[in-house]
Amino acid sequence: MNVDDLITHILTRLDELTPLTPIHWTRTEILVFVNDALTELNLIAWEFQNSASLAVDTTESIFDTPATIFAAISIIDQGRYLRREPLADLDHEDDWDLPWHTSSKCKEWCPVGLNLILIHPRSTISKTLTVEGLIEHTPVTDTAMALPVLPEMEPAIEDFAIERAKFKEGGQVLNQAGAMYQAFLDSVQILGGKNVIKMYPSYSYGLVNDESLRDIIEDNQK
Amino acid sequence: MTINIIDFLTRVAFDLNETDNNFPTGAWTRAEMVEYLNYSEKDFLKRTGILKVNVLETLPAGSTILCTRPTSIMDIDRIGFNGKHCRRQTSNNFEMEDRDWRQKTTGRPTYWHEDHLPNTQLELNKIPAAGGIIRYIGDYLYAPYVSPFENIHLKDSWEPYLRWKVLSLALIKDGDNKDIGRSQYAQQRYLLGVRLARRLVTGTADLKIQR
Repeated sequence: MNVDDLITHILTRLDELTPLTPIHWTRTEILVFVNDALTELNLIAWEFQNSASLAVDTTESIFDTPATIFAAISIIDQGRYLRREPLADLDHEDDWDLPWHTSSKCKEWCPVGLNLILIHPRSTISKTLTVEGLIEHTPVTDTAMALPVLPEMEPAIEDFAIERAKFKEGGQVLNQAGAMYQAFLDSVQILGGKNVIKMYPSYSYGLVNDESLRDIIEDNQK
Repeated sequence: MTINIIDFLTRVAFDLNETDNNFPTGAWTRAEMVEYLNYSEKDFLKRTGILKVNVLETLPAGSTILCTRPTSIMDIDRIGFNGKHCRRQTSNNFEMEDRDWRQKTTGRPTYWHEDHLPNTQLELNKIPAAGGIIRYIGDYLYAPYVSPFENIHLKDSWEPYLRWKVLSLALIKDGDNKDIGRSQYAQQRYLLGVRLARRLVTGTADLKIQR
């Protein structure tokens, strides 16, 4: 599906009678929500991935994550995947920072935040490793460009954007739209083969801190 | 693509039923929103640990056990001295082991603590007689935004979650536009983003939202 068609679909489902010149929302607003949906889809399902080179030298163990990658997932040295370890484990197991802890073959890596990568043991030769990781999608525009996901993901994007658009209405409208965000999370997790979010955000309106008062809505009608 | 604060505020404004990023209803101001953004960014970096800094500093021979934390570090994760990991302890542990530890401080630092010290300082258990290199790894802290014409520091993928946090703060403000329900919902969506970021940092597959 093209992005402009998707935005038109979304606005139609939001009951805008003239989706090309909507009244309650703008097409630009909906476009932001479509890009938000692609971002969240990527963070859950790791949809957009690429690889990049990482030059390592003999003097340091910590390197910047390649600029095109925003979160490293795996690292390859001469065809072999390095084992991922948390920094605390490396500290417990080995003095990775000692200058004589070196090898021609790197064996382990650890993310230091998302912007740094630690390679262990320190390489005895300058060489290039391959980093596989998440990349950010190029923001889509309100044109005839194709949505950069598989067709089965399109309804999920649509659900996300509709629920997101209804946030500004609040109240019962947002409460009812909550199911759409859950549908987005379900679709993305099932289609992406991930099961990472087990407790969904929920919207409660009225006095939410007291369970006994949960039925009292904003205009004080039962 | 980098998002600038003006575009960010436009997005926030529409969610708050404002017509543009000058917040013409007067319920909020641009300056206020920039402050909310500063708050949100610090909170996001603190909670997720996505941005780390690796600082090497030379410790002169025979210097004091008291060290000043590098200014760019928000919270220290790890300290190493001459390639060896220094474990974090409490000063009480030092006292329990040897009440006179401060009088016997020359040697190789192996522990550090930051009890009863200002946040900018930490103490090693030994003064390195020959000096050495100390490696700090910790969370990075950006200088706060002062103008709406700057770019958002974080990668685009985290911008929607900063927006959720800013919305959460804006909607909890006292006044006619206060909306606790929407504010709490925005906070939950923000925390979902925090969890997704933590998952990338730690590799933990299981996510639960803190309420």
